[in-house]
Amino acid sequence: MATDVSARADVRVSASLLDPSIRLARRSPLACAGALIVGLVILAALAAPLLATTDPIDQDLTVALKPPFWAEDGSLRHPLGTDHLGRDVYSRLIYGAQISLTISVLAALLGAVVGVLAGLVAGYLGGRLDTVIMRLADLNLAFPLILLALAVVALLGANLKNLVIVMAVTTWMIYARVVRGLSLGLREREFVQAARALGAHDARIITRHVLPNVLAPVMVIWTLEVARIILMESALSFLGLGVPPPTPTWGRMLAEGRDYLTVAGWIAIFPGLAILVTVLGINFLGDGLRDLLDPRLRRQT
Amino acid sequence: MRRYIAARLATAVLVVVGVSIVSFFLTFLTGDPAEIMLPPGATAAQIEKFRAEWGFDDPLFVQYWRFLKRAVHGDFGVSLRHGQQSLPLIAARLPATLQLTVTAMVLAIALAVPLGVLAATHRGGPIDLLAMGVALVGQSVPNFWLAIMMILLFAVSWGLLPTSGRGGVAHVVMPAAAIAINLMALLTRLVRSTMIDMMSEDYVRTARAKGLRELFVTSRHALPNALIPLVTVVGLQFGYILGGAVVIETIFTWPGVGLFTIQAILNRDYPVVQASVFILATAVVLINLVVDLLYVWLDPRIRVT
Amino acid sequence: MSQRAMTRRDALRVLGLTAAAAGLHAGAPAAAPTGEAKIALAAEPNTFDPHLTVGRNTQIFIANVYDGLTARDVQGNLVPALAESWKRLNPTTWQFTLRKGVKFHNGDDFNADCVKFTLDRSTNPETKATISSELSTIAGTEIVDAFIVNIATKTPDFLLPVRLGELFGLMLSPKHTNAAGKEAIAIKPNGTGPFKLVTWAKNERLVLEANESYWRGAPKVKTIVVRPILEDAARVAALQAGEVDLIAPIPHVRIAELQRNDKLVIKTIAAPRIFHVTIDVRKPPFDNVKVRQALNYAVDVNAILKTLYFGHGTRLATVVDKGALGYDPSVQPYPYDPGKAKALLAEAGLPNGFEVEFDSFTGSIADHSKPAEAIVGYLQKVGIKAKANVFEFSAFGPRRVQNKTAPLFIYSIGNAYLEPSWVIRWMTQGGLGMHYKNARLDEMLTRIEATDDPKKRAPQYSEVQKLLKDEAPFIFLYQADAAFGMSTRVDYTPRPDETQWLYPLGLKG
Repeated sequence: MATDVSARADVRVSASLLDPSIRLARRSPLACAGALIVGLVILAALAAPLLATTDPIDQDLTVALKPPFWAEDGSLRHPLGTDHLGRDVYSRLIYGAQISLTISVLAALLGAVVGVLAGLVAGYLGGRLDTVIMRLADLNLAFPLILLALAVVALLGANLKNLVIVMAVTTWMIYARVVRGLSLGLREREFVQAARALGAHDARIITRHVLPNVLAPVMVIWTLEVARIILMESALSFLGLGVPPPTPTWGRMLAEGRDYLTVAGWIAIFPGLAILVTVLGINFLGDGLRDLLDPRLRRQT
Repeated sequence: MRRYIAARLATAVLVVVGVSIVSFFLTFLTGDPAEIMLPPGATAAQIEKFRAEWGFDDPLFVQYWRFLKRAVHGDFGVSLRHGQQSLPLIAARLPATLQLTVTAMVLAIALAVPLGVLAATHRGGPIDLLAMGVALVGQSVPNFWLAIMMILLFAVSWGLLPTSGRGGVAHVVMPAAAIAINLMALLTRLVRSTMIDMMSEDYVRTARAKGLRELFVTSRHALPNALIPLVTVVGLQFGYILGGAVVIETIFTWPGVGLFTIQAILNRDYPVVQASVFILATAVVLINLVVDLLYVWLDPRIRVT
Repeated sequence: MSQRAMTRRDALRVLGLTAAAAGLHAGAPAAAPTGEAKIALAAEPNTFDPHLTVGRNTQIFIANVYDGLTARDVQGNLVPALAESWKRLNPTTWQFTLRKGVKFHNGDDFNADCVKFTLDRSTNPETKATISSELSTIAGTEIVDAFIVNIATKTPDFLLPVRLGELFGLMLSPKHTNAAGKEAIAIKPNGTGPFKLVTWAKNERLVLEANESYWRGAPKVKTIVVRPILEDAARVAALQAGEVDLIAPIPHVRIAELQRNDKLVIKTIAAPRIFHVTIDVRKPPFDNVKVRQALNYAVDVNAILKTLYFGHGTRLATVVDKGALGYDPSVQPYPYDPGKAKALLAEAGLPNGFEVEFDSFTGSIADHSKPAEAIVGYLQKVGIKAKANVFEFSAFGPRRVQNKTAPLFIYSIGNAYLEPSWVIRWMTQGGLGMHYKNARLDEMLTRIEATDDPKKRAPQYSEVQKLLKDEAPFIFLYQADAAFGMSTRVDYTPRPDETQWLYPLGLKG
């Protein structure tokens, strides 16, 4: 779920972002936990080749649908069991972290870059550009995003590049709206007026005065958007339009495991839990960041 | 004020037109349905003949112009699969989706408000922590996974609820809950934070200084103000709620617009896809419009563009 | 099912067969239909207009409301329906003698006019019939008298009686169809079949009611309520909860669990859907028969059947399915032998394997992506670096039509005709990605198609199967079982041609 920020934004930005970790820990232990979880997931993603025990796409039909090691038929060879093609669930989970995170982070980044740029231009420069950009955002928001994603993936085909693009398309508007609102406010502020009076170019003003002041809320939104995109990627995979096989993503594992829920529940339960825990961690972190950066931001959920 | 309304209406119409254009080109660029509609034994030559018969091989702009002319009259064409007019087909399914989404929204609000208020009034304590924990988990759980878990538990294992289909309370509980969970979590946190802000306002502080009973009295003033952003957020989330409904309708075979549209996309039933996107987008645009106007009406201090 | 000239005695015997096939108890008149059965299927028909059906799911269902000229009995034999007998007058003309005294649900009489009207409508370009490709051999229909029609075909068509059966020959009443119009008969059909459609709430339920004056005798059950439940899990849960009495299909993974349930009966039948991987024999190295054979040795099809289908399937040696005419069990399938596969590749000059693309798809009525994944895995183990492309079914279609498919792609074809020649002709059509041609094979098939008597056709198929196996123009796979689940109060036996024929369905107690 995206967090929606109202057009009215009165931001008092922290003067310094130094020692954020200490302030974070003191202010919000939950955020600390979040950072820990996310850190672990990122570690798993980065160290996948080291942590995984088998090749995630290696099939062996003779050991298909084996349960986790604590069950009767299980073994430590496949600690979390195997799926319908005999692939190791644990290894797929680790590699899945890599892929799900990569897609989501990339999509969120792409969306953020495009959205922030659009918002800056619309808010600071105003005029026709503003109207066009905002109407585009409205247009985009008017589409139920799942249907949009479905239609685009059906059109362009399901692969990494297209997925990243289509999910970025579902996220840029949030930044655009928020940043626009912030830029509008900042445009009238004294230090900006002063800079303009001194003859500075628009671009220079935007990059030196406006941009730094919007970064904080953007970061908060970004972390929460990553969480939402992870959920969306899993939903797309669930509907059969995510990253194509045999690449393991958590959403795809969930979709595959769904057919075997009653005889081999572990195939779906673990990726479902992985998504839940990761997204939870990101949400903790995002909340902590928000608390840290400006208590008044809490008004805009 | 009137100029503002007129301007917003104009842009709303523009957005809807834009949506229909995009949906038209999207669906047409995915290829035509001839291959799907013919029996599997059809040869390549027969498929080509079929395409010609149905006009799928006309140039794109010719087809778009045809589409535009008819769409203005509410004619989105005859469904390729069902042989009937598309718009009425979708409209017939709208009540089912509305039943589901409205129930989900009501459920979400009904749970979020007490939870959020409790969390705000017991801020920092264990109740707050629990409520926030629940909210965070609710925001993080993949709702289709939750739906399947619920079916397994409540319908198959315990036999308490029906597994699928549309109906009364027993049928709507699980799908509505699955859709509501993410929204409820979001709203809980919103209510909590808004209440906290409200409660730090001067008039509440003075009331609190006067004694606990006053707090309850002023909560009656604080809470309604907290509900304004709640309603606006719910309205703005409507698009996401519809998106959630799409997946959930599939799992529960709830005969709504979402399920119908997914099938149409996968079957390349263009007329239906176009009619559906048009209706859904219009609904979302309308709701956004209403929310924006409501916002301005409630707080004229807000500088809205 | 005889196609020679019928004597009166033969005709009576056939009628007797019909009565038996129709499930009437010998000698006893049918009792009035009673009771209500609730069934859940994976999909509902898209229309009840027999000329605008899309997909097998529709065709196999609307046969409950209409009749064709012929039908199939529970063993899959072709039996008379609205036509009592038929014979071939000359290579391009078939004569059908129609059943007398049959009425449509609305009281219209069934006669030769109906046949001519229906067939003309199906081949009329204005109708834009989706089944026109199946009836494209028809040149014209001539009414000889009120109950005899001659149907002329453009080329000799030995399958015409099957075509005009339940799948593509469902009969309409001209009076009613002209009066009601196209949009109406899609949702308010008027047929001669054992059931009438009384209610249809799309995506929710369909209600069928017994046609008490059905010419085979009234069905046993008075009302059948059909619910489409797309999700496998939801459908099975509905059966377990007792919300419905019969469901189809059941995913193979659930069969064992449901068989353990005392309140349920599970019946499986080998569905005539032939899974195979098409090899583009024009593209090297697939023009080398050794490479193609290597592909067949490389895949452990039995393991796939065991793990993906839980044993509910039949390994096929070629593309002739078990229930088809002339299936020869003495032609053995390729065994799983990765060593032999590698050896053959080496003999063909490819000891290190090669790269190739492999197409598969999601979203059609059967799952092709999982077996495709398994097959790709096996190919990789013998050094063939297959790269899997997975498409949505609707995106895959155009690739086939434009002949842009990868050199290997998985597919399946439902042998609705239960006749191997039809399948093999389709697979050697030179389009839709299938480019294998063999003059000897052609000649064998032509000889078979000129043989009217099925008893004489059957043994001729043996040499066809031997040739196909040796030539290996496909990776031969399997046919999967279709599983039906029902409560113990339901008496129902599924048919081998996938048709959901509800007429014989009965309720006990």
